[in-house]
Amino acid sequence: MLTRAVLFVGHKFNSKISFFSEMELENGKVEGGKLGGEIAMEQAFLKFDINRDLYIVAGLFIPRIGLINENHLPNTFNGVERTQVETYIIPATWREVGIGVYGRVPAIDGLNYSFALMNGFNVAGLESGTGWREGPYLGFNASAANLGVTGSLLYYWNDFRFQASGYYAGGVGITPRVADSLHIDRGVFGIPVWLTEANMVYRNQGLEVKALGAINGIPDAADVNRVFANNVAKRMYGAYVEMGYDILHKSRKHRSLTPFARYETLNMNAELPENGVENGALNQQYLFVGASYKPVRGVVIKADVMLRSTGDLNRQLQFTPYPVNVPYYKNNALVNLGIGYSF
Amino acid sequence: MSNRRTFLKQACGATCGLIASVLLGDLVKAAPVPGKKPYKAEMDEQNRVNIPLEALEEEVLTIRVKDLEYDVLLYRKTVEAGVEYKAVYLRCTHFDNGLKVTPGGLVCSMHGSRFDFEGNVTESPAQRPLLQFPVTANTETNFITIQIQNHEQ
Repeated sequence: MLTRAVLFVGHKFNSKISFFSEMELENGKVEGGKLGGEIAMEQAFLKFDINRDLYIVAGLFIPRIGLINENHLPNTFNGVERTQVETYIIPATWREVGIGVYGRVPAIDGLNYSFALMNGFNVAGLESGTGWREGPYLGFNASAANLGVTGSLLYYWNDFRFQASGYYAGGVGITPRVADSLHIDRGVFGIPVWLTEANMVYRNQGLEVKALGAINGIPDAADVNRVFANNVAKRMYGAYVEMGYDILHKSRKHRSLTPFARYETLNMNAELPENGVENGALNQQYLFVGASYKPVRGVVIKADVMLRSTGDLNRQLQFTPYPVNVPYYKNNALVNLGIGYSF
Repeated sequence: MSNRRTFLKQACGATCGLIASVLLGDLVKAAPVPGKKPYKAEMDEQNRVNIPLEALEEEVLTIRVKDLEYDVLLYRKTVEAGVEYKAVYLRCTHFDNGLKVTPGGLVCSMHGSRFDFEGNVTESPAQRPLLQFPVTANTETNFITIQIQNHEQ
């Protein structure tokens, strides 16, 4: 499957103002009346360089949350698919409409910060089993009825990269009249949602180690379930650790061959409200083992084996009747092959 | 039995202490130097920037050149024949963003591209090396001259 094809268009108006955009086509094509496929803007923002230590972005942009979100090109991460944690707990590629300030602290080498004000979150869109995947507006039908704020600290120190970020937003972007009729809290930060994550990358002599942990929450998940009946969790968490080694790192031809292994754990119903229905299948562990080969910097050929282990499926949440219903296996394996490029 | 347990406890404690002290020693040894303010300079009519050798106290020097959009990094490299000087433009070749100088190299905080002090890409998404400027060192006048060129491309 052609998972993604992205077209980048940028323009520099002058030395201080630039435009960046990415338009993405998913799943090869979009056809009227048929499911699947998507065309979406991943980014479309203006960048204003205030000085050499500070710039502002405005428009549809990707906030600095997690590792893959901001840096999601296929030749920058191991594995054919993006990590599970940064798919369901951090819904990468997560972009919103707003304004962001990015800077560095001149007095401390390597210390960077960011702060952004964006449109809020959409708890009505959440679906049980897909984590926070369907919560962001992604620039579609977003309003200022609710808002989100995010901030991060990023520190480069020798061969390490450390980052921590947080996000807090109102979860209901509906008008006061609709909210009142649904008996649900409203306002800019009504039905709050939050997420925090920290990550670390170490690179030296071909060795690369990555670790990330993230946790999110919806304190008023019971109200969300009562109104939208989508069985959302009060809290989810996920973490992964990955190690890879580029056995060609001494090559002067910019080639690399990186075998890697990654362990991921995530629980998309770590804590449920009183009206939530538990599903053990959302408590998942993954082991990925594979390799990435880059004949040149911009091209990658990937392969990996995924071993997945989950808890018991809650049969009460399975509505598809027999025999259409497929059996659920708690342990399964999948082989992924892929190619990627960026230039 | 008690002696064996005590011995194991002490041995484990000593090993952990040894590892911790080695790591702590590495951390202290590798502690980053607080950021220095960039060296300020101006271009002459031929787009040359002259830097006194004494300004290059360490291996690298960030130079803020008036009328240049991004800083310039001057790098002193020790080679068999002596010393070589390199000057690179601190503009990421991926998204035209200013690069940060860290003890481990040059990094772009926008998408994580990394470069060594000579401007070679060490981490994608950037694919092209940084723009280099010719450098000449005059040991008689003790000045290093950087020829600024092609920076508007």
